[in-house]
Amino acid sequence: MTGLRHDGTFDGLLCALDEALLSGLTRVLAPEDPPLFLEEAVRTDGGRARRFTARLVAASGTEAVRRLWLASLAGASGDLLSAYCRRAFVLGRALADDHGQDEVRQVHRLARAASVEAHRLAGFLRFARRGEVWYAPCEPDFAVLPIVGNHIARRFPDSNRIVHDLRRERAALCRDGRFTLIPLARPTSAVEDDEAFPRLWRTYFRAVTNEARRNEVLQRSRMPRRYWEHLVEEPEGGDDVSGKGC
Amino acid sequence: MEGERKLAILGEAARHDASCASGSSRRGGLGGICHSWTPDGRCVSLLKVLLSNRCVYDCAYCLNRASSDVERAEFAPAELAKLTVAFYRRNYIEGLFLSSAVVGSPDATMERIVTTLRLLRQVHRFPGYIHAKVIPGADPTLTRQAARYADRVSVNIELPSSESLRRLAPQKTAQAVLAPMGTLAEVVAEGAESRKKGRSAPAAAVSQSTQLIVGASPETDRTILTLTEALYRRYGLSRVYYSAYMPVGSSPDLPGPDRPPPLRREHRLYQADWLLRLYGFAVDELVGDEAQLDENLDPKARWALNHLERFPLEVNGAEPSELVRVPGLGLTTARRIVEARRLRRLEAEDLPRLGLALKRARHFLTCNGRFLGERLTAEGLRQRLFDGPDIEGRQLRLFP
Repeated sequence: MTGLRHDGTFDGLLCALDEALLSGLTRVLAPEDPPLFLEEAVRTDGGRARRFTARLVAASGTEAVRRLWLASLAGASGDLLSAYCRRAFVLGRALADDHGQDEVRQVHRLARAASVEAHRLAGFLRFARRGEVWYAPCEPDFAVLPIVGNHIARRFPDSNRIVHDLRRERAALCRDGRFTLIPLARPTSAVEDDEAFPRLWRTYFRAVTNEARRNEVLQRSRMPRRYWEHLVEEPEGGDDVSGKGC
Repeated sequence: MEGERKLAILGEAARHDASCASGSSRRGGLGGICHSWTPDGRCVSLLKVLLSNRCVYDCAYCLNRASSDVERAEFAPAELAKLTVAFYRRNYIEGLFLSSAVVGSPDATMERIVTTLRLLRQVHRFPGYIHAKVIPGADPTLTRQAARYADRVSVNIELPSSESLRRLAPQKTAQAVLAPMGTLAEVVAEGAESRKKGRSAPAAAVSQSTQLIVGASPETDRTILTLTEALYRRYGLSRVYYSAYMPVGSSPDLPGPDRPPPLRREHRLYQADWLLRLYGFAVDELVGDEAQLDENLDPKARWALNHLERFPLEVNGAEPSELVRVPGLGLTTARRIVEARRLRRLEAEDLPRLGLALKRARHFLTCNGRFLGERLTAEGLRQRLFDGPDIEGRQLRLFP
């Protein structure tokens, strides 16, 4: 079986999927996948990617394309996505209802996982102010920077912001309501806020914790520990409750 | 007083307000973002504070009542506006939830709340979410002004009957609560009307909610839910919140400090509330002849147990409105079933993938004519659905 290797961009992936659907027995490979004996690189062609997207939209609707994109951010394999597309062209509009089908379900699950994480991160990012720049580090499971960057750019159109994915060493630069993705290495030291607001936030966080209702299982299920490192509030709450107990 | 201490006092003083929704803002965008979760498992979405806790009222159930021995503090409107903006820009919060003790008079208090909101919207151009409390008895003009700046407004009913208000909150009357609720219902309706006509928003609050305390006074669940239903119908409220009473006072009219807050009851009321709002249930179906919900059964499970003649339902044929009445099957699952069965007949193997809580739902379903549950007596079924303390009296976990 031969393989088609794309460049890791979404356009590149779409071109590879297009090619794979034409030729049938072909695997779709991301840059990080192990090499195959027989493989070739797919040329990334924006026009081809757009035409493929248009065909997919015409067949199965925009939601199918959105899910394809989200699942790719969540690290779906090229083969899974190619099976999903094949299914999309067969089933058309009925694709999204086909919860019984394996590939469809897996893509839905991954798409959902990416969108859940992006939504979480939209809440968990913490910006520190350094002069004119607002900086927020994160280490998401999935490559959700494009979703989060877009959200931040639109929410704070009047400031310059950096959302930094430390794990992938990439960042979204947000200004004037738009964002661009760039490679960016880890900072050598923690970025501290110019003002005292992080401390005030910690104070507030402790004050609103209701000891009589303590339920850490629930807390962790909504806010898994792996996100805590970059939260300024130190969510343990601890026993240092600033107000008097309840 | 130092800012940090002030924030601790006024944050703690506001934390008993249950509402945390930051739902539909008039400015659109991703709604309902939670920025953090406290160790008690509650979502932190808004900076929820009192403008002041120096109360002239003396409501027996309230931590901040005039006769209570708590440290007092107060924000200046400009100071709180600045803090809100600073937190918002750091992405700590979606916005502000502002309430206040009654300082001087309802009108004087309301004026300070309105001033804070005006500073935020007009001076800071604050685009975030604002939930403002309206003080019972405040002037309708001030009420309308607050609604102009806020996304959501609410007046707390506090206690579910006039009798209890008279006894525990002598300075508040049902009339003082319901009058602003009526004003706010008008504002919300006007806003919805003008949005429908596509006019760019003469900015106005998009929704109204309220909160009441459960377990501080003797009302039954039936009384509470009947009130809830009336509030949804008459005032078009988006939500009614229930807050289990935390013992704070020593009034002989109140449960003692050794009584734990009725969290299970609160939980059941919330479940019943969802069933009323979204599942097409009526109060009479949920409470039956007894006046209370069963603390050990999901109210939907209890209804189903009392109506076994309506089951089992055929997964491939039942109406959506019937499906949502099956214990363990919710709105989302019902929608998925309806979508999936349009493509092909569902088989029993398909069901776990659709997200049903099959453990409970199977006792009420057939698939292609085959019953999915076990042959059980009504009592046996009740035991399967039981959701309360187990035999040794250990409390089962309330939240999954």
